[in-house]
Amino acid sequence: MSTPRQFEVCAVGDGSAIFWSQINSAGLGLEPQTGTPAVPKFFTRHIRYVIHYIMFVKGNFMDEFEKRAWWNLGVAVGAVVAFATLWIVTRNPAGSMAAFAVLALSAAPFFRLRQPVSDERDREIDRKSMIAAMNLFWILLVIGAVGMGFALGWDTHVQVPVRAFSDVIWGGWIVILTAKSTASIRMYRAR
Amino acid sequence: MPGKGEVVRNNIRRLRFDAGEMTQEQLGRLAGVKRHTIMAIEAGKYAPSLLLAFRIARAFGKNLEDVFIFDSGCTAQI
Repeated sequence: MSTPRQFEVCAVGDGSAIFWSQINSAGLGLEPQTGTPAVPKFFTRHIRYVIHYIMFVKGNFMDEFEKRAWWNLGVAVGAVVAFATLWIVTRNPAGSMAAFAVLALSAAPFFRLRQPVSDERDREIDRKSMIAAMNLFWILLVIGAVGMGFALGWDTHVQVPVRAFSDVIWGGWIVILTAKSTASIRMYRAR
Repeated sequence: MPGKGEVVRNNIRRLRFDAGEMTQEQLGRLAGVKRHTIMAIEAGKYAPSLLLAFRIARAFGKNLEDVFIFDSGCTAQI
């Protein structure tokens, strides 16, 4: 009478049981075999699915310039989120301006050794999205310039810190970056 | 800019099939554009320039109107 060997039990399934048993035996405790896991499995599975979908399914069919637009949108949103987080956490408005360093990442695609080749559709989308971004920027600029005069009075003297000017300049760049990338993505994905 | 109801249709998919199942990548290379642009033209999402339309037609060895069809969106009433 022979006793079943232990590895035969582990060999059933997709191999993840062996993987996690090795992880647990190493004492890392990343995924407990029993009890409630720290992060629900269905959640991690969905995150993995989304990452896989973006990188390997949509990524293969996505135009290089559409990827660049997604990157710029992410950078703009990231800068705003970092600014708000720093402001809330540190309570230091001047120090929060460090978050605008995130915007430097928008230049990252230009450092690629092999630049993607653009054709007439890319150039047209770039032109149209730039026009859309500049239109929005000018509307906001005029509203801001005229609105301040009407709200505060044209001859009123106000004192503002220097960082307010910097914030406005960075904010303007964020508006242009967001509007341009959003318009590009919209045109690339138009049906 | 196309007017109301006006649309430019195309036979690119059928012509690619007739040309020995030519891929979008191959057609793009012949016309000097990317595969994504051919995809967008084929799906009617993008109206190509006149120059690109001629290049695509030449890639199939056809006339422009064999590849692209202008649909005014209305039928003539007598």
